[in-house]
Amino acid sequence: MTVSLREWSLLMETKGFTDQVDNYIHHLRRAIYQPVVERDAGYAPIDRRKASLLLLPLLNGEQWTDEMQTVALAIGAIHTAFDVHDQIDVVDASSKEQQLMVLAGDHFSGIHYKLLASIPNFHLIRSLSLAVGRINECKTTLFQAPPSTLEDRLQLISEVESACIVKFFEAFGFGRYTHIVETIFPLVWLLDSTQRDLNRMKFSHLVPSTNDTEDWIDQLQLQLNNRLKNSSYLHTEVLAELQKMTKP
Amino acid sequence: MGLEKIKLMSLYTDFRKDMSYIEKELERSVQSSSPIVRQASLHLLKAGGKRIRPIFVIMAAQFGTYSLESAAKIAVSLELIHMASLVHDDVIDDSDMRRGLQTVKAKWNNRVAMYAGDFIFSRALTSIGTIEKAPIHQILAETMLEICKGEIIQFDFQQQTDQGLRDYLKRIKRKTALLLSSSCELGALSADADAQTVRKLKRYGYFTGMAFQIIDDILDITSTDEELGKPAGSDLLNGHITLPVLYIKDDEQFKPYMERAFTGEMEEPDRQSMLRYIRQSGAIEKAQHVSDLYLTKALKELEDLPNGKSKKALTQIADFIGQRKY
Repeated sequence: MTVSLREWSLLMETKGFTDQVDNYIHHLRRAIYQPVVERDAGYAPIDRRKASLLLLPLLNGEQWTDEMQTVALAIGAIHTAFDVHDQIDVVDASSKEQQLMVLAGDHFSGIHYKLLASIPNFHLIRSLSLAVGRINECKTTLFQAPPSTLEDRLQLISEVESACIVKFFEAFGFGRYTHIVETIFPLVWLLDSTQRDLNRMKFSHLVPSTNDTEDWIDQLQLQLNNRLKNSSYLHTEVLAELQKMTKP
Repeated sequence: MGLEKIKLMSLYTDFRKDMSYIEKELERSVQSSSPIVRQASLHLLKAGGKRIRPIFVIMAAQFGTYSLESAAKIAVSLELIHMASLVHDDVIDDSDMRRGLQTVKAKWNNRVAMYAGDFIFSRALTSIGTIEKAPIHQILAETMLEICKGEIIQFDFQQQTDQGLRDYLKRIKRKTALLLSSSCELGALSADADAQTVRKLKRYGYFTGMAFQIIDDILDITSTDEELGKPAGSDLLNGHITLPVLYIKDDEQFKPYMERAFTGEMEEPDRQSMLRYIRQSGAIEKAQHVSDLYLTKALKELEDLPNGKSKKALTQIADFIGQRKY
């Protein structure tokens, strides 16, 4: 299920940003593989952007251990579980595909725990469980009783998307990357709302008016640029990828 | 509280204090800053349940160096995992009622049920995460994955009539027996019981779990809607072939009932007629016999364990499972 550090390092040395993310996604797919789910519901949706942000320290050349790699896969598994469960229809989940998606999400959650237990990293079992709990509280609030201001909504969206990654960064001394992911997630959500089919977006019911969206995009972009400017440790290639990710 | 549950609770008398502590811990575990998540979680918790997983943990832990605090963390975790799976199962089965109350998905909606289930599951890991014993986590993680696999296989088998006894037994092993088996195993491990005792308790939990599910499947046909808190025959109506149905599925007169149940074309009198047909076919007695065989095996596992209040209660629980009426 996991890849050895040697294998991983060799791959990382020879491959660029895109290949490293592709490689991680390949291993994640292997870790969460379930034959019936794949046969009847297809490939699980793996959020490439989220994977890139989770791997930010690795992509920026930080030392990456076997343990970090296993935890990164565990977080990828729980992120996939969230994404699958977010696709369950509010009213009618009676189709075979929807029923299978409920089970698939539970299976991916189980993989998340199994990977953490295999290390075993008790601290992360606890801290990630608290993050997962918080994420589900935030999602419920955003879905059923969203806060009145866009600022508060964006704050909750940031928590939903970044909470597990932040715990990962904190656990392995990568805290300096935290502010980047916390700012990028609400920004890319707003950018998506101007470019994507709303039906395919998370929290589409919360998309604000065009004027508000543009104001907040400007504000968050300014905030991110300032943060990136002060992050001299970021390699040029990583910086360029982050800027590409948040380009309107 | 139903008469059956009172009977079961009376077997817990010696462990009342411990169970009351666990009940409080369960309630504390699902506290949430989100009022909806809190209400949804407490809704199911307050609906009760037999708490058979927690009691197995507590009783198994008595065979080692017992610590209520340590056993309670495992007991709470296992009960929460069970609860989370029920919340999600109700979405899959589109069930509006459970334990005589509205389900989370009916009271709110599918999405809240998904989030509440995931929240409850996270709390299960928070509870057990404080125990720093690798085997406990590895066993639980493996059990959870097997349970998921079982559900996926059950889904794959839905409405398939060409399944046999082995398929059914494998399914109920994953659906019910594994978690009860792990409850006993983890309870004993939490108290550092010796390896042989852990193995015997694990097997007791497994055999009891198999019997428990077979009886559950029998009761789905023999009980009234009121006793079940949902329509009798729900398993078949949801496309699940259980042991009594397995014994009768090739009966030419029964086949049309099964087809109508699977296609959702079953009116109320037809459902009653189908239930009567199964009850009178002898299939119930055959299924009961299989359950009895498992309970005999469960009791045999207890024979060499030291006598005491825990062994006595585990024996009584096995007897209760064989005789429960709903």
